Amino acid sequence: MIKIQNLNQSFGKKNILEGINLKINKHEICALVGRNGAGKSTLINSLLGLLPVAQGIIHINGIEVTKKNQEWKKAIAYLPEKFMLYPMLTGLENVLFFAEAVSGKANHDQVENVLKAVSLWDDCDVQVKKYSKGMLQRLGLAITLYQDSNTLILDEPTSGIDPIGRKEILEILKTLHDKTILLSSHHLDEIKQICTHVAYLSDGKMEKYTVDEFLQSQNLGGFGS
Amino acid sequence: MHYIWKEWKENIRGKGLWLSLSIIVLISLAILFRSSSLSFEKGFYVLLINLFDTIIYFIPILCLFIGAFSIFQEKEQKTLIMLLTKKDHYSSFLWKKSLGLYSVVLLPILVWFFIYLLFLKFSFQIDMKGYFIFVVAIICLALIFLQMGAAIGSFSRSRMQIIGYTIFVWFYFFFLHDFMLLSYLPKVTYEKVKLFSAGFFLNPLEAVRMYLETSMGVYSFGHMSRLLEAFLWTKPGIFLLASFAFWILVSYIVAIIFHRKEGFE
Repeated sequence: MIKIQNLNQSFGKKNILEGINLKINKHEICALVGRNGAGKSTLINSLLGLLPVAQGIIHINGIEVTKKNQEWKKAIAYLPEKFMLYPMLTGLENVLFFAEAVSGKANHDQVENVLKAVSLWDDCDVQVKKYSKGMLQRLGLAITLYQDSNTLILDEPTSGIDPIGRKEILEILKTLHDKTILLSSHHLDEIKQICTHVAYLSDGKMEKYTVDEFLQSQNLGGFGS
Repeated sequence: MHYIWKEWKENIRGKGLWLSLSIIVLISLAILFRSSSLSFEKGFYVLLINLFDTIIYFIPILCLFIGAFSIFQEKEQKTLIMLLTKKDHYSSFLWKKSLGLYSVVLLPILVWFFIYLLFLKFSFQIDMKGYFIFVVAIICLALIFLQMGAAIGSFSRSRMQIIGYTIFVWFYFFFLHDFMLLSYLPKVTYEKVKLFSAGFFLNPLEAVRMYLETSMGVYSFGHMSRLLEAFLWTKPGIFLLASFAFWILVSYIVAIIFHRKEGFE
């Protein structure tokens, strides 16, 4: 669960986020939507503890995001936009490295399971530099899923991927019922397909809608139907 | 351990490490062929000093680039952010990454200089202690500049910045540091000479050179002037150790304080 209370962030004199309140419950897939420069990256970086919170409180699974106590990191997994992982390593070696970096020792059965879940088991011995964009994105998801965190933050997970690759990613995301997911996206069709809610960020302020409410509010009611 | 393992796999499958190592191999072989006319008894020391004087230009810049680009790639590939948001602090990431880098650079150098010793055995009378001191000098130099490179990679925002900072650091230690101290030399009094020598040997290139040359007996400490005695107020090995500790620590702290995870900061 993600809970943000009265979050303010500013760069110099410019206010980026003003009094943001947002609660994303378990089993919800919430799309983070907003125009370029609306503050989506600032919000995500605040959630991940990469930007110190100027004012406000953030809780991940009931644990406050602070620099002193890093317990909240166990509850969260993040997949950045346009990542490349380690191109000279194979898919399997990448997952093993992250597994060991996070938990000290990799559980090989679990590694196999997550690679099968993203349909990469057959290609796991191929160097990542030979992966297509879609395969790379699925590998990133496998790394995120291995960590078995309750809360996932995905930054444009289908950005730059062809339609078939996008469909594969969305199919995987649909299976993650037991997680709390915040994903930033510019694609209304995929929001309609997989998301339960939309957090709309505009001029530093945020509103949370159900997907249908959001489409109605933006006069997009007939979109994708 | 998993960082060392990962660093190894990445580097042995890439070109950068092999290119760097091939430069060192070619230089060492070229110096060996050029030294064929040296005497069997004394030629060994001359060869090592010549070899050191030549590779001292390459090792710092190669290590600076390897260290800097290795850290920068972690930012570029977004693996750094994935690691930091899950577990590590930047300080622990840098520590593990540095150990990985040390192992990747030092092991091939050690293996090569072991093979090189076999070549030397055919041409010269070998002094194992002298050779060990030479290898230690090279290792110190490599570690210091690798850590400096890691600091450059930590605070740089782009590849162009890395190239700029790296060339500046290299230029500073080869020319500017000595030049600045030389311009200050006329003002150095007998009382201040200790401070001056501490500044002089803070340059790792000077500390390593002094350590190597004195350990091999190139310099004699028998007939020094009072001023020179005051200048060398402690053993060259201590100067080297101090310079090594200072730069490793400073580079590590600078990297932690000024690191940028991504371009947004």
